[in-house]
Amino acid sequence: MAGTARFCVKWLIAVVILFALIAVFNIAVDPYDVMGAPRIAGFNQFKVEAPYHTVLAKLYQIRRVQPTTVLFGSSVVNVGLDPKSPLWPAAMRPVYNFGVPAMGVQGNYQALKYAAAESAVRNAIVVIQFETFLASYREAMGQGNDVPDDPASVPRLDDFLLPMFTLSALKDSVSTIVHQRDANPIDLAPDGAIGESVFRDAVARDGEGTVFARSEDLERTELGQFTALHPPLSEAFPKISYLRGIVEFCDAHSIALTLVLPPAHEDELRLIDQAGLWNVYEHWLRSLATIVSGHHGAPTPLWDFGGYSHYTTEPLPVQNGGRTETVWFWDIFHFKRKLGDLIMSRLLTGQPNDFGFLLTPENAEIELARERTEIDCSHSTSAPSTSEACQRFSSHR
Amino acid sequence: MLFNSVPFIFGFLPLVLAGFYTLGHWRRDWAILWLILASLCFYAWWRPLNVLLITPSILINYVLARIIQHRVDERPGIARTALIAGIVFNLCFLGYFKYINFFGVVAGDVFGVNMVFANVILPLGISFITFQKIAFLVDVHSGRVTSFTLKDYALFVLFFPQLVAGPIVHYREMMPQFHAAPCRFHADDMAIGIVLFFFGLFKKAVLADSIAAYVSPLYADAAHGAQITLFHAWIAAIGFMLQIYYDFAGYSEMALGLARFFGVKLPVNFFSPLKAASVIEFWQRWHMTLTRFLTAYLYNPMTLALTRRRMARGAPASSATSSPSAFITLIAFPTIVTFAICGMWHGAGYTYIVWGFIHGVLLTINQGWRALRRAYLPRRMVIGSPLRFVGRALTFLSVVAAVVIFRAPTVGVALVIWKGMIAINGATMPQGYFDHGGVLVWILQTAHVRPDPSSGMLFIAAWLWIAGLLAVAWTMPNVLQILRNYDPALGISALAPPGEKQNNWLSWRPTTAWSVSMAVIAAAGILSLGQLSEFLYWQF
Repeated sequence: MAGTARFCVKWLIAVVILFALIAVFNIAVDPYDVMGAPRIAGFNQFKVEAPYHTVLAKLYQIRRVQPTTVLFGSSVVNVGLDPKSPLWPAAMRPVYNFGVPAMGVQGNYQALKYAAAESAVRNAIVVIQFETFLASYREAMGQGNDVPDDPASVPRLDDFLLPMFTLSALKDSVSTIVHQRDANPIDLAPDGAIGESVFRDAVARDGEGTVFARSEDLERTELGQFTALHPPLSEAFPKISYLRGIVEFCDAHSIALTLVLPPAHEDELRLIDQAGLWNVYEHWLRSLATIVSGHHGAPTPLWDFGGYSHYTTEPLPVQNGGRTETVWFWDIFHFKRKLGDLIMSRLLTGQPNDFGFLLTPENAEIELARERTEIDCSHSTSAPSTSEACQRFSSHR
Repeated sequence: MLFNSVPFIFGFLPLVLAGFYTLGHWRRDWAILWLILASLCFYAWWRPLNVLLITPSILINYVLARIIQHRVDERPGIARTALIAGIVFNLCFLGYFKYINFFGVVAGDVFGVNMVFANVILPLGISFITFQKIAFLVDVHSGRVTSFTLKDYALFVLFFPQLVAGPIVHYREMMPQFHAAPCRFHADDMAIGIVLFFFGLFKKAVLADSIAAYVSPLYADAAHGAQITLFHAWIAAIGFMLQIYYDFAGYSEMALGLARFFGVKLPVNFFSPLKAASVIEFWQRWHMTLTRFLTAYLYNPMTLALTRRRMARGAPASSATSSPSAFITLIAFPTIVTFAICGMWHGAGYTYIVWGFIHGVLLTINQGWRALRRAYLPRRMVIGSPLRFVGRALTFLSVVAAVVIFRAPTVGVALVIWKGMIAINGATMPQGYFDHGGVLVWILQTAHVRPDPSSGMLFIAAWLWIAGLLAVAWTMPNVLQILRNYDPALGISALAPPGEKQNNWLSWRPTTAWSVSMAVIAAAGILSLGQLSEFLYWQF
């Protein structure tokens, strides 16, 4: 056959040139914010695809930011808490948001160790959720989604090769450029926050009712998997030792730790109750209260924004109702930034004092009794109730 | 080591080729030994223990083959005993490693006893290797293979491009090629190999793995007890059909390409099966070397034995379609048994047996239809393209429905998907489509389609992938047709004769345009290797 040798040589040259061009393009766009390429308006300012590679991006972002304060938790933190908020006092800045979707307490513990190794962290705010402690919960670990145990192993060669030489990185680079002019571009900001565009986009595409319904389905599935496992109460939270680890690590490294139970829509409490897991929920709260007071130093503040309040009892959007904008929540788990600002205000300034309280072993039983009464009242909201608790419950609405 | 992995493409393959060409320059024998050694390393990559299992098996088969060869003329009884011993040994070898736990499960289900042998690990490619070894012994016994050495036999069994998942080859079609191969770099072979290998890689890494992302969650949901509704069930069924189609097409082409780098042509194994107008034709295009093996070593001997038995009982020596009883005995029975075994060969589980049984029944119906058609329909009514179109549609629907149980982890999960496909679980579409209002909502509500909380974007993306992949499978020439003027595989001239006018614009030539196009295809395939994924057929 004539010309086959020339074909092979030309093919090889073309492959090498293609690879070089793709690598240069991916480095320039830096779709996952790993390389720290400059953000240029209209080109790669908004890292549209980085939220789908959160851990990878954050391992390198935090090295560049060198934060004093770090926020840890799941997507709830990522979306709802703003590191740029003017509420942060100068002494606590820079602030970095290390929230990672589906990350549980084990991931938070590893993220805390990593952050402390990479930066002089003085303050840590860890947001913890009931579902992520359950024995059945599978954290989004593996598949490059976990924070390495050994911080010294970062930077890793793969973390640079994959964003340069994969088709998905190329696709994401193109997508990054294409979506720069979107009305609400999704972005993983340099401070680690994802912002609310993810939800705005989902609501615009699928409708608010669907977004809420999806989160309800997720909650039912999570709780159902735990119910199917039916472990004894003593084995319900196998990873709670990581919370103790977080408390002890912060104590040992002089990091001021604040634990936060985030607000969730009352629907979440209703689903927990419907699944027959109210006693498990109470046991979890008691265990948390014990952990924060159970070490030799000063007690760790544990702020509880869960339970019933004016904010958490806003009406659910109607399934087929188009674009009914809720005020405080994107779905039953994810609170909006304006509620996140209230949480930070409460933590940093003490206001508003009717939202959230410090949970301690001393007040745990009183607060649990109050929540129990309120969940009971929530079952009978159609009939007027005369008890003081139920009147208070009604007044939330 | 997977063909679609960075270590294989950038490490193992260049090293082995460099060694092969260099040694071949000095001495052919060294190059062949190097290839055997490389194949052993390739096999040992997953589990070094695999080599300790396969090596004694090769030696035993070789000794038995020698006994058969030397005794077949003077002492045919010994040769026959050695042949039976070899077949039994190979089947026991396969049975122990592949089916022992399944037999335990069956015993548990039937007798309620707990017999699970948890530590038995399946050596890679054992099903393919076993069939090749059996075919070799039968060929030696029948005189189709007359001379062989241990080195040749080891290379025949271990040759890494077809070691793990076929094609299932015959000694007599491989060894003459190895004996004639120059064992040096040859630009023609390299060029054809590049086209075959990288087209295959593209199909596997870009096409098959992309549709898998939409399919796998549906089967997982069904396994977790979710009711799969109409449109989602069809995504699960057609999507998996396309996944395994491009996966196996990709693997088969990569195997052909790899062998070609060493100057060897493998037989055609996959030839656009979704273009088949009948289930019989489907099996003449899908995993063709398996069909060839099953026909030659299982179906034909069974039919022959049954025919002799019927004749011994006094039945007339007429055709298998001459009477219902002849049809049942000589076609339905051997077809269904052969395909039930074919199903079990694919995997140790009830689902595979049911899948094989379904295909056996489909083939029997197809044979019956052919007999009726020949007997009652005028010839001009059976050749026309409208009937071929109907045949293609029915074949597609049949194999798509059957493949559900091939993918489902249990029969129960397959039932959930099948129920969904006939709308027993109702019809739903993403809530987002209902929120946008308009005519679409009216149409959906009129058709009793309910909203569900799934993602509208993923739903539409899945159907777009399905439409695109089906269009390619139904309308585009396959790679062997594209390469038909360059004799890319054994047996291709019968399927796609050189110089055939059809789709001439897509015929490969060693031009700059093809160099650049193949570079783009190769780059896309290689750039998709970030996430490793095994070939579906490697598990068999």
